[in-house]
Order: sequence, then C-alpha cells, then structure tokens
Amino acid sequence: MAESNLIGQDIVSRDLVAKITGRAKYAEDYRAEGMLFTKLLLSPLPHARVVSIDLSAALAHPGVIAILTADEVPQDEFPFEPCLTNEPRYEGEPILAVAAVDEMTAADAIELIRIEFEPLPFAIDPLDSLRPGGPNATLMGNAYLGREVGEVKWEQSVFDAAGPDGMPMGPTEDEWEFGEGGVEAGFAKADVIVEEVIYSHSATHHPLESRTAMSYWQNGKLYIHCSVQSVAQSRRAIADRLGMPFEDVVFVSEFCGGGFGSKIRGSVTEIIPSLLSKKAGGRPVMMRVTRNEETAFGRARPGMQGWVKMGFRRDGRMTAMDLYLVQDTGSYARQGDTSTAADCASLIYTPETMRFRTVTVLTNTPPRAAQRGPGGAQGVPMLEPVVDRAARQLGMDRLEIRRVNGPTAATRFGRGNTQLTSCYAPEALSRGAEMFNWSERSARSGQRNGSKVTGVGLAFSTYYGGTSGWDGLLVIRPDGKLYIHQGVGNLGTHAVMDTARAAADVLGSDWEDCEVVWGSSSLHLPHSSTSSGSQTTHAHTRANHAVGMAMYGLLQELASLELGGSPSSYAVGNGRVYRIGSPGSGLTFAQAAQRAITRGGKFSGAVLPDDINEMTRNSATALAGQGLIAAAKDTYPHTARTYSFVATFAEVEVDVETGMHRVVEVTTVADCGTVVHPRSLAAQANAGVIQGMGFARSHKWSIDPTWGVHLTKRLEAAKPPTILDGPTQYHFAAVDLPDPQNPVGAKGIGEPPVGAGSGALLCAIEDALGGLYGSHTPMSPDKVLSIYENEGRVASGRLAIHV
Amino acid sequence: MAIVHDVMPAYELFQPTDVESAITLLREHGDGARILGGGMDTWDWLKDRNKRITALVDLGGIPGLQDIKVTADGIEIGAMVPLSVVARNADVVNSYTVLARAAGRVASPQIRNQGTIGGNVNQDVRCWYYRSGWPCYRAGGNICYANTPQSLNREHAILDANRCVAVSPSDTAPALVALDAKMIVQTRRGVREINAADYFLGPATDIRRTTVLKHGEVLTSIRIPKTWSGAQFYFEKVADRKSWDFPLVNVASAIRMEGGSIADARIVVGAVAARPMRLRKVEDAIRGKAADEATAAVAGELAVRGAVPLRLNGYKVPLMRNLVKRAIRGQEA
Amino acid sequence: MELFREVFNPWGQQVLIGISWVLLYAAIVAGAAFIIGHAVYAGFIAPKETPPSDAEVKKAAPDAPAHITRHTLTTRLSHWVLAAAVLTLLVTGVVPILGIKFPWVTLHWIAGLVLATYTVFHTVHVLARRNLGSMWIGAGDVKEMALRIKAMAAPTGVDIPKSGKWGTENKAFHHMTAAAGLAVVATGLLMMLRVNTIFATANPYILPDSTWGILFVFHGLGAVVFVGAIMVHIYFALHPEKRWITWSMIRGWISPRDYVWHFDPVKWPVSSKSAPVSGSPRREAAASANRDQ
Repeated sequence: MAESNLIGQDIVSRDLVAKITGRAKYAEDYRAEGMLFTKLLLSPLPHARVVSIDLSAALAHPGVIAILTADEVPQDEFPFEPCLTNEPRYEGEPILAVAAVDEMTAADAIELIRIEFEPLPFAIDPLDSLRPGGPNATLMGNAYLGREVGEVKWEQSVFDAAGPDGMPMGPTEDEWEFGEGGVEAGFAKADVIVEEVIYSHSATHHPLESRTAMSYWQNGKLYIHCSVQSVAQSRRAIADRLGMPFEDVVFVSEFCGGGFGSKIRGSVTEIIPSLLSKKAGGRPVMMRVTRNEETAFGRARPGMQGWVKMGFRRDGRMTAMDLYLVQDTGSYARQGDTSTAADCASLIYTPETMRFRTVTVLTNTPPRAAQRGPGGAQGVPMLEPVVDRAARQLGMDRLEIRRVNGPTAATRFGRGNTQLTSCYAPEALSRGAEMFNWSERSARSGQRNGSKVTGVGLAFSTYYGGTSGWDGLLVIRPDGKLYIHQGVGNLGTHAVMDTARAAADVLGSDWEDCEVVWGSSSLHLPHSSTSSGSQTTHAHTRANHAVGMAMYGLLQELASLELGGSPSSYAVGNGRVYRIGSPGSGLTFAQAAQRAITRGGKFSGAVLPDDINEMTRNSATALAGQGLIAAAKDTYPHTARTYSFVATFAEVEVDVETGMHRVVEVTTVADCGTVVHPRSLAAQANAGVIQGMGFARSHKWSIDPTWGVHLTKRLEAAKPPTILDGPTQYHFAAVDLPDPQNPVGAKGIGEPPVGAGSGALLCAIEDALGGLYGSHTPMSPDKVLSIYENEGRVASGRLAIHV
Repeated sequence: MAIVHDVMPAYELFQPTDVESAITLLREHGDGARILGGGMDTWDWLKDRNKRITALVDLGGIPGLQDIKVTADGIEIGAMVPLSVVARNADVVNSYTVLARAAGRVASPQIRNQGTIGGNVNQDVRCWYYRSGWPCYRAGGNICYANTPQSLNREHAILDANRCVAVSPSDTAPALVALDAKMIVQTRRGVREINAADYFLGPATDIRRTTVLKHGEVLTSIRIPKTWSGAQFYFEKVADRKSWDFPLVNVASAIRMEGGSIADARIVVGAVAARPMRLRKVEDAIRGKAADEATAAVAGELAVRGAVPLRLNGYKVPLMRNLVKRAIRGQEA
Repeated sequence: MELFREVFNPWGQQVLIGISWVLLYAAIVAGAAFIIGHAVYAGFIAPKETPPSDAEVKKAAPDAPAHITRHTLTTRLSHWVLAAAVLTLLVTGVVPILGIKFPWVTLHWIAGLVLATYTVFHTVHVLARRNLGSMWIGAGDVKEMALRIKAMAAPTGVDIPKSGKWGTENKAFHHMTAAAGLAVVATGLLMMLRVNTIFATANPYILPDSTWGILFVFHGLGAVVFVGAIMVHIYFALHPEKRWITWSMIRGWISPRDYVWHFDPVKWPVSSKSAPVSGSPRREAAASANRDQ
C-alpha cells in the first residue's frame, strides 16, 4: 500500500473555479423548456384553520397554469410536516402554491385568492404554554411525552416560586441522573456551589442560498434540482415524501450555498414544485425561495430556557451538575438539542454526579432542526460563563478549572458511561493556551483604557465526530483515471473532495488522475452519509479507504490473473498495478480497466459484494462494464464513540459607554484527529467560531408575542455576522494526532467550533464586565450597556424568548 | 398588508433627463408615483408589496444630480451622489469630515455604492412593524404596534414620539444638520432652500412623512456652508454589527473652539426619534465652556432630559448620554 | 362611496378603523349648503320683520327691567369654555385631515379633557337640579316648530308662534351636540389609552380591534356632526338678525325689545323682580308650573 501523500496536504478543490467565476450552477440557476414559476401563499396567522378558499379569480388570471392545495398533497400524521396545510401551525407555513408563467403572475394571482382563516389559540413562549390555562400550540397538546404530544401544565405555585426573573421548574417529561448518590451527594461534597438561570435563543439557520427547488417529470421519472446538504440521502428522502422508489428520482444538487443543518435531507417544501409539475402535466416548475420564506420554513435552532447548579471542590473538580432545560421545539418535530447539550456538558466537565431534566414544548414558531452544533452550540455558551463564575469564587484560573474537569482518552462519561475512540482535549487546551499566551493575557482581564475594558475568555466545546458503515464506489475507466463516486453533499465544507482522497491515497494515485463524481444521482452515486453532524469526514474517509482497499485487491487479483503470480506479489501506485520491486511492470490503470471490462464478473461490476446498500448496488450495476469497478461497505471497527474537541480563546475590548465590543484576537485549537486538509480545516474552524460569535452577539429572530408574527424576515434584521464583524486576528491549530478507529486518523470538525466561539466571546464579555452575568443572548450592545448600567439586568428579563 | 411578498409588482418606469420633467411626471401620476434614487429603500417597499405604486420616476438619468461642486461659500452635493463617493470626496473628507465619516458608516460597502445621499436623508423611518406592512398610524391606520406593553421596541424612539415611535435611521442626516446644511428642493414653482434642521418632520406634525418634501417636489442637492468647515467634528454610530446595520443611536457634532472654550456647537443625535434631534439646549449650555469632562457630563445629562423609554429601549438613554459626552470630548474616551 | 375606513390587520383580516373622511367633507358641504340656503332665504325671501316699537314693548312687557337676564355668568363662562374646547377639538382634529399639518395630538386630548370635564360638570349640574324638563322637546314644541317651518316655506302673514326661553331649535341643537359630545368624549377618553399620555402608557391591546373600530366610528361620527353643527352655530352667531343672541351670551342679558320681539312672554314670563333669577332653571320651572295652574 502506498504511503499517504494526499491526506494532510492542501489542495485546490475541484469546484473552486466554477464557484469563484460564477459558473457553478445552484438550484436557482437551472432552466428547462417551458418552465413555470411558483409562488406560495403563506399563513399570516401563527395557528389557524383554513375555513374556505376561493380560487376562481386566481385560476382565471391569465398565465396561471395550476394551483396546488393542501388537499392534494400527502398529509402524514403529526409530527411529520405536510408541504402544504390547512391547519397552519406557524406564521409563514405554506398553504397553497400557484404555478404561473412567471413569478409576477403567480404573485398577482395569490392576491386574487379569497381565503378565510379561523384563528386558533397559539403559544409563542414555552413557559407561557406551561402555565395553568396557558395556550397550547397544537390541538393535541403543548409538549412531547415521548413520541406523542400531550399536555403539560405546571401548578401556579411553580411560577410563583420562581419569581419574575427566575426559572420556573415544574415536573419534566425526561430525566436522568448518574453518579454515586446522585447530585445530592455531589453537592454535599462541594465547597463552592453556583446556580444560574440560563438561556439560549432560537434563530433561523440562514444559509446564504435558500431552499430553492426546480422539478419536472419525464417518462415517469422525477427530475429535481435543489439545494441540499446531502445528495444520496436527500434523494431517498424526496422519494419517501412522494411515496415512490428512489430509483425513479433523478436528483441534482451539485452546489449548495450552505445549510448549517437546515438542509440535511432537503426540505419538505421541495416536493411542492414536484407535485405542481405533475399537476401541470410535467411542465418544469421553479420555486425560488425568498429570504422571507427561508425565515418562515427554512428551519431554526431550538431555544432553551433553563437553570443550572454546579458544585465544585476546592481543587476545582466538579462534583455535581444539575441541569434543567425547557426546549422550544417549534411547531413540529421534537428536537434533541437539550439532551445533546446535557451529553456535551457531561463530556466537557465530566462531573462526578449529574442530573438532567428536560421538557420539550411545542410553540407556534417555525419548525426547528439541527443547527450546526445542535445542543452543543447552546450548551457550551450557556454553561461556560457559569463555570467562570465558579472559578472566580474558587480563586482559580479559568483554564485550570477546565483542565481539571476536561476529559482524557481514558474518560468514561455521561449516563451511558461512554467510552471515547480518542481524546486529545488536554493537548488542545494546552496548545491553545500557549498560542494565545493565556497566562499573560488573562492577567489583562479588567484593564481599563478610557471607556474600554479588556476581557479575556475561553470556552471548551465538543461534538460527536462521525458515523461509520457507509459505502464507497470507485471506477477505473479505460482513460486511466480513478473515478471516486461520492453521495455526500457539496455544501462548502470540501468534505466531498477531501474524503475522496482517502481512496486515492490507498491506491497511490496522483490527485490529477482522479475525478470526483458527485452532485447528481444520474452519475450513479453510492449510499453515503448525510453531510451533517460532523460525521462526513470520519464516515467517508473510512468508506473511501475501504473501497480503496477493495479496489487495491481487485487490481492485485486482476494482475495476477492477467500476468501470473500471486495477487500479493503485486502492488498498486502511480496509476499502475505492478510487480513489487518493479514499478514499471504490470498494468496501467487504463489497461486494467480494459481487462476488467473484458473479464466481467466482479471486475466489471457485474458481480458485487453482498453487504453493500441497495443504492450502491444500483449505481454500480448501472456503471457495470465501464471499467474496473469496486464497491465496498465500511466494516472497520468502531467500538467507541467518536468525539472532537475545540478550545477557543478570545480577547475582547468592551466599550462600557456604548456596549459595543471588538474582538481583538481569537485562537482556536482543535482535536479532530489527523488533519485531512489543513487550509480547509482552518477555514471551517475559524468560520465556525465566527458563526458562533455572531450567534452570541447579533444573530437572532424576533416574533411579536401578541400576533405571533415574525419581525426579522430579512438578513438585515436577523443580523448573522458579516465578515467585517470578525476578529482582526485569527489563529488556528490542530492537535493533529490520529484517531485510532479511523484508517486515516480523521474525526469530524464542523460542529464544535460554534459553541467554542460563542462561549469564548460570552466569557470574555462577562470577564470585561467584572463577572456580571447577563444570561441572555444575543449579547448585543443594548444588553451589554444595560448589564453594565443596571448590575446585570436586561430590559426584557433573562428568560424572554424571541425578543 | 400584502398576502404575498418578494415579488415586484408591475409599474411604469420613467427615466427623465431633467428635474422639471421629473416633477411633471410625479404630478401627472399623482399619489401613485414615487421617486427612485438609489432604490435601497424603495425597492424593499415595492418588492414586499407593502407600498403600491403605478409609476417610478428614476432620477438616475438627470445630469448634474451626481456632482459635487465646491462653491464660493461651501460645497454642494447632488442628491444622487452615491454615499461611497461622499465618504471618499477629498473636500468633504478635509473640510466636513463628520459627513464623510457618517456616509462611510452607512450600511455596507455595496449599499454605499448604490445608495445616494438624497436617498439616505429621505429614507422612511425604521420600524419593523411599519415595514412589515402593518396598518399602523404611519401607514394610515390608528394604532402603534411598537408601543404596547408587549411590543418589541428595542430600536425605537425615546424622544419626540407622538403615537408613532419609529426612528430615523439615517447616518448622514445628523451630520448634515450639524453642518447647518441647506436642502435644495425643486418644486413646480421654483427652488426652495430649507435648513436641514427644519427639513425633517416628527410624527407630532406629520405622522406619515419624514420630511417637509411634498409630493411632486424633488430634493436636488444639499449645500453645506463654510460655517463649520474645519471645525472639531465627531461622528459615532452604535449598532449591533460593524457593517450592514442601522444605528441603535448615532451622534454627529461640530464644535468650534475659541481660546480654549466652546465658541459654538452643533450636536445632533440620530435614531432616538423619527427625525435627527438637534440638541439646542445642550448647544446653549456648553457655549463658552471648556470642552472638558465636566461640560461633557452636564451636556450628557441635559441631552436625555425628557427622554421617555419604551419597554425595551431604556438603554438608549445612557447610550445617548454617553455619545453626547463623547461628542463634546471629541473622542471616544 | 366607502362610508368606513378598513384596513388589513397583521393577520390579513379586514378590520374597521373609522369612518371615511368623505363623511367629513360631506358634513362640511352640508353645513355650507345650509348656511348658503339660510342666507339666501333670510336675505331675499323672508319678509323683513320690523322690531316692536317702544310702546309695543312697554305694553307687552310692562314689568321688564332694562336688562333681562338670560344667561348667568356661570352659564356664559361655561359656554365659552365649551366653545373654546370644541373649536380647539375641531381645529386640531379636522384641519390635519384636510391637509394642513401641525402638532395636534396634545392640544386635542387636552381640549378633549376640558370637554369631558365640562360634560361631567354639566350632567351632574343638570341632574342635581332635576331640571331636565326645560330642555324637553314636547308636543307643543314640535307643533310650534312645524308652524314656523310652514310659515317660512310659504309666508302667509300668519303670525309665527314665538317660543319660550329655550326655542325648539335651541333644544334640538343642544341635544344633537350633546349626543355628539357624549360620543366623542366617551370614545375619546378610551382612545387616550392607545397613546402615551401623562396618565398612562399606551396599550391599544386592552380592547379587541373590532371594539376599537366601533369606538373610532362613533368618535368620527360625533366629530362630523360637530363640524356641521358648529359651522351652522357660528353662522347664526354672526348673522345680523341673530347677533342679539350672541351679545346675550357675552353680556348675559337681552333688551326688553328683543324679549318682546323674539319671545312669548307667556311661555317665558319676566318681571323686574324675577330678573336676577331668570337664569335659574329651577325658578323658571317653578314659574312655568305656576303659569300652568
């Protein structure tokens, strides 16, 4: 096997030129003969029932071709979302869709529709919904009880006991506890106990590209162009939503302008143009989703209202953590963010005892979905400032308290006593502290220069780092090139290119002789993981390594059959399979491809391994006879949980006269196993930190509580960070030590920088404010100023949601 | 309230080549006509279908409106000069720095290239209820959605509110008021020259307009007299983001020092009311005083006297107070 | 023609927000039409009446003092305060709608409070004196009115019956403005809760939109009635033939000549002794009761 020469090297991504020259085709850029456009009628109410619809004037409007209503689309049982509904559960939920010759005609037609709604009770704030007599978001109830929806109401005394700015804590639906004697015993051992109200806000994902889709039908097949994070899995999801076999879906998503978790398997709304097209006799229908609509149905991060109590021994060791979180899961599916937040907390602090209680409440706000670092990105910034408070009370260095509690490779953590595949967290903290010069900088904490106060903070974050068991598919064609088929998405992370190199490395191929095949199911893609949850790098370096090994074996076997000798007397490298010790001998890849076609059987893809997925089998079968084909499933051992770790350090300058702050410097160090692509990794990590910092200080949404209507429907008002908001100095490094359960040593990294970035910023601001803890995000200038002027108070109250 | 947004409805586009024709077109099309400057405000309204028009009169093709002219008694900036040009212009930068700084802090680089100074001063108020098309006072209704016990009004007014609590979001308007600029308005009957301080209207006077500009009148240029040329200037904008954001509060000031004390001053605060607020009482109080911390403190307190915060915008009181202090100090701190 | 103003609320539902301003213009036009009509009638059609001679005056009202008290000082003061309040309300409420913009809201609600206070004061005063009868429009008033209109329409030389102290037109005007006044005052006081005042911070959500819509309609209708009524009222106040009434509202008294000319001494008896109290409704009621015996 050739030595690794691609993993760990910078490359120019294959799609780069197309992206920077504008040649890249995103969903909205596709055109097809006779294409129609659709506009949606969205619910103006947060919860209502459609009483009557009169389409006559709209249908008579010249240029209108078809109108699709909720009665004509699949209506699965709650919590599955229909693509159109007659009982909208949030403002902006699609009611119907008009297809017309252009968008203006479609919009004008929507204005001609007479529609009457019956308003239904609605809930915007989970805590309001939990009050006795409080509104329920659905007619079935207001909270999840397992998989079912039921009613959870707390006694008035719970609210009275909490007081106006305290967290009411009634009985929860889900609860676990670990550690000897439980948290009570843990707190009994503690020398210092801190408790705080904690809060994390909801906000739309807002990828740059919205979830636009264009569809048409030809000969019974659905052709769909859309913007998704994952190709293979979205194709399957679209087919499921339409109740058809995935073989009949031709799925195209070559480029995706970001998803952050909001487009993991595409969106339910993508079937709108598909169904409209069917109704319009197969004419293509383009649905361009606007920023307004992206805000409405483009998914959002679940908000949390909660409370935490932590106990520490004098040496800084956390003896107990009692975490209580109410999750705002929006109007449909149950999210697991509070549970993940608890899991992450149990890993980054490894408390000796821990109790976690949560209740997941439905509100008439946009449906939630995983958003980059789901759970972790809320948990870390909620908890890290509280840990800092404890450190201050203990008179302990804030880096030290994280070192004392942080995990190591030997750690068993959480309620499942989970084992890690690898953990270089101590190395990440040390390396970061060294690069940032923590000891010197933290001494500057609180220094005042005019109205500017220096604050220094760090946050330590973790996230799940990868799945396993997916498939790889390779073809060596008679042109001598290695074609690496990838069913993952191309959402800007480079994973689609980077993980392909695991196969190229195994075969010792020159990167110039490799082609990555991605983005369209018509190109025959393998069963791949979703591009989400920091799993892709881990999952597909494994799968591509596995299929690379399979191809290696096929080449050896083919050479042995063609040229004699045992398979093991052959090696592969530099585009050849050759007799060991004689690199000029053997077959070129081009020759091997020809021979494979001639021989057929397992060489040409006619015979395939038994354990591969049906999608991979179909693709390989479609490619059969075009060259030497290898398909394989990743069966490498994966006996523990894979987690990555990120430590971020930040220095800020807070202007206490204006509440504005400037991030002076940021240093981030990651433990994500072996570095696959240094430049891309640094970009991912730094951008995650920027995203986290943006979330911590400006990115938000606001919903009027009286009307339940969104007020931040534009990026201008939703305020995700701009590049000019970033720090002037970024530093990044990776520990770069291999994970033993990945053949190339890699772990995923997409998620944890977000929580690290937001946590570090909030800790640094809190530090500058002398430890005044605001407990409300985003920490915008108004709040910083209020906290400074009013001893920690914020005008809305600490638990006010959607403000 | 439009039921569907984000699609520009049909209207007629006119591209006159002189101001007289523009005025004629506006009069011919009555209330259904609207002026197009850089479009940064207009297109949002139209695309959202929350304001409907029949005719759009584009001033982009009128020669002269995009010129900056140095005159005997100051400088004249055409209404259609892009903000980025104002921010870079050497004469503005050197003599009327406060305007250059204000123009350079508007929105984002892209918006500054497209947006004009005329549009920046004439833009409609910022209130997300109003801009969502809700039928509030300013939209012709009889309610303010931003001033109720539940309203989300972090960005709204603390001064000069009257039923409507929206604010003027302009960064250049306070600077122009501070410079004693004259707004040159062409009407059917001729040319009017209006002091910048009198140009902007609060809701008490007219809840549906932000300036004295009437339908069929065109702001053609802004004259800045030499009065404050080379004075001590200060501009600062506080916003959630460093770019692409409206001010939470901004301040523009011009101070002329004589013999160690303040000979005269203009202090104007934006985003605290529906119009830029010139703080005449503060100006009077600091005249003849040293520009020191004591004067700044007095000025700061005086500035916020009478401020009425709403549910979520109480922070604007200390913020405005602090910005006025900084304006007098002439530096951040 | 739309009679009401309606908007779409944030949920896209149509809600009533008030009367159409067309009605305001209609009231102005109606008021102006009445004034023009009356001016034409009074100037060209109506027979010129000659005032009674001194002898006739002496004969008709031998006991009348030189100054017959018609309005006490209190009445006059309250009338002028009321007039100032109503005029302020009309100017501040109507003129901006007509397109002349100025800061009107504070003046409007202050004047509104004056009107409200007056209304309360007046109501309590009237109820306390249990003197509602004097303003009652009875069958006799209606008959008298009918006769007068008939005479105006076709002058026949028949004597137009004269009224007592409060003519039917006066009573009708009072009742119309009282109804309009109550409407604007009651709705206006509630409407103050929608804006920030020194008394309360704004809360337009204390009542549902539909209720507010009705309140706005009544406020508008009251205002529109006021516009027409006050136009006519001012017209009469300035009219040469009625100027004696205006003077009486300033000075408090009328001359015996005007008394004899315009009133029926039977319905409104005065004497030199009764003069100081003639403005007192209770005494008048008592007098009226005596007369009926």
